Amino acid sequence: MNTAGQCYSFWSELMQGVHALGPGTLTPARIVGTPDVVKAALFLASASRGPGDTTYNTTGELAASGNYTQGGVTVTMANAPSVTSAVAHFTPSASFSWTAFSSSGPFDTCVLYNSSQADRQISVHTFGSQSIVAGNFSLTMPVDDNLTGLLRFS
Amino acid sequence: MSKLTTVYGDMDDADPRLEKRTGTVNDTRERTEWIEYWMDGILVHRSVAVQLKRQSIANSEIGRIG
Repeated sequence: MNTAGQCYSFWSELMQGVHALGPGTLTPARIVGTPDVVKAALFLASASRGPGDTTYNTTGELAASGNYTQGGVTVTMANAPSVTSAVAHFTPSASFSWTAFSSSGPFDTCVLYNSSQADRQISVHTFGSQSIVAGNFSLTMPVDDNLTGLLRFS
Repeated sequence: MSKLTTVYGDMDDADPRLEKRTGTVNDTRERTEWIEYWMDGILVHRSVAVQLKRQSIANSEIGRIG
């Protein structure tokens, strides 16, 4: 019996830029073996970020303060996307952290975007609203598996 | 004793004028720990650590051929 469906490996390979479907108008120039640079930036609770966004911009991002710089921090990606129990998943391999800054207002969102590919936005992650006063903020990643990985496709 | 960044510059976290407050939020989406230092009724330092747990998943479907 045959089974219809998108291949699990396809999802993982999409995350690694293996496939370039369509006429190729968006196919970027790449250097084999060189990953894109992905960044994480923090946004105010009053902002309007969501999955409908296509490109990172600074509207609603925390203002520069102390060691917080608009544009965010570079995401560490030591582990490749993988497939577990028919779920493709990827999770950055290190926490995101910012030290010694004051947030310009309450914030509740972290946006991941690809700074190597015209700042195309990848995902929007929300959490309980927080404020930082002359302090530090860290965002620790979930376990990278089929149940909790930060980016999951099934 | 260790250095603490505050709105008044670096301070010793053992300074008797500082009042330390901590808290935790733990639900299905995140575990968050925060730490605050107050001095004379003013919040002079607040740090937060958020552990993400489970967020949404993208489901896929395929179209029917024929």
